[in-house]
Amino acid sequence: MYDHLRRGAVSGAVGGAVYGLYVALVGAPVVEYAEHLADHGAAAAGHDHAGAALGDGLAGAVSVGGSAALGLVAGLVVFGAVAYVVEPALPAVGGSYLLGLCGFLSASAVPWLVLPPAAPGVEPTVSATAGLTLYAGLAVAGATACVAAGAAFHRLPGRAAGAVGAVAVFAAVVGGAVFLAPSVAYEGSVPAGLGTAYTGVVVAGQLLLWGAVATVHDRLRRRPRPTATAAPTVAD
Amino acid sequence: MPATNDTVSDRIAAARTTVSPTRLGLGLLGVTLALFLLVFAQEPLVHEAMHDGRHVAGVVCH
Repeated sequence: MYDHLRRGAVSGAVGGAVYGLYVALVGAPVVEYAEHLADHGAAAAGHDHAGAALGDGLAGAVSVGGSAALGLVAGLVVFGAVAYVVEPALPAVGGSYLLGLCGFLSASAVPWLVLPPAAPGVEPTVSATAGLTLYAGLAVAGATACVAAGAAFHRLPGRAAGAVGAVAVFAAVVGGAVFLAPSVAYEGSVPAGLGTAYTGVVVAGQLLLWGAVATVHDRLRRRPRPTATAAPTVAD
Repeated sequence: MPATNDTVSDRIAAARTTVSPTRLGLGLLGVTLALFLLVFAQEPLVHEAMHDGRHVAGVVCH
């Protein structure tokens, strides 16, 4: 149990560091550029930015450190505690990546079906509290769908039927949640190219986060001890 | 990866014996607090400090 938590924490710390670098070098500059544009357009009336109360540098550092901390939390929870419990149900090869995919789907992809990422300057018409509550609710729905899909896979006979059943269950749970969720309108606009690029940066960032944590977790897998002293293998 | 042929229920049972309710509570509290501070806190100072990070993570909120 504590071995699993330690492994999850190490994966999360490394993955979080990689993701923090990404936020610092790629994400934050894009956000600030989009905000710069929004400020000079008509759409940005009445909203505060990072750096209004804090120095820009401090806010930037907190954002980067906080993003790295999110990676650590993701590692501890998903790749530590959850991994310990669901490990017997995961495939022996690629289980870490399956966990990472579930993390990405729950924490990002499912909430995005209702609240897609939008560049600064395009904002949902609901209040921040309502938006965040909705986001959290959809993340819980996503995690539920992942667990239900796994359960369906193991209850159906055969891999093919299991896979089809798992996808169907996942789609049903997520579809139900999206159907029940209030639809959210967005207002404001940014240049089309910027909006697309921004979405790309956000999606790539989350894939990088979960991918990095999953890769480290996979590498830390306890391999059977080699019986003979094997020649050092070429890094694959 | 599993060296032993245990099941998910075995793992839950094992976790119950190794993790005391106090530790579980503290763990859950810590994770909740971290997530709250990083993503969901509305306190302006905290909220603004994580502003860029939240945007990059695709959490749209204001």
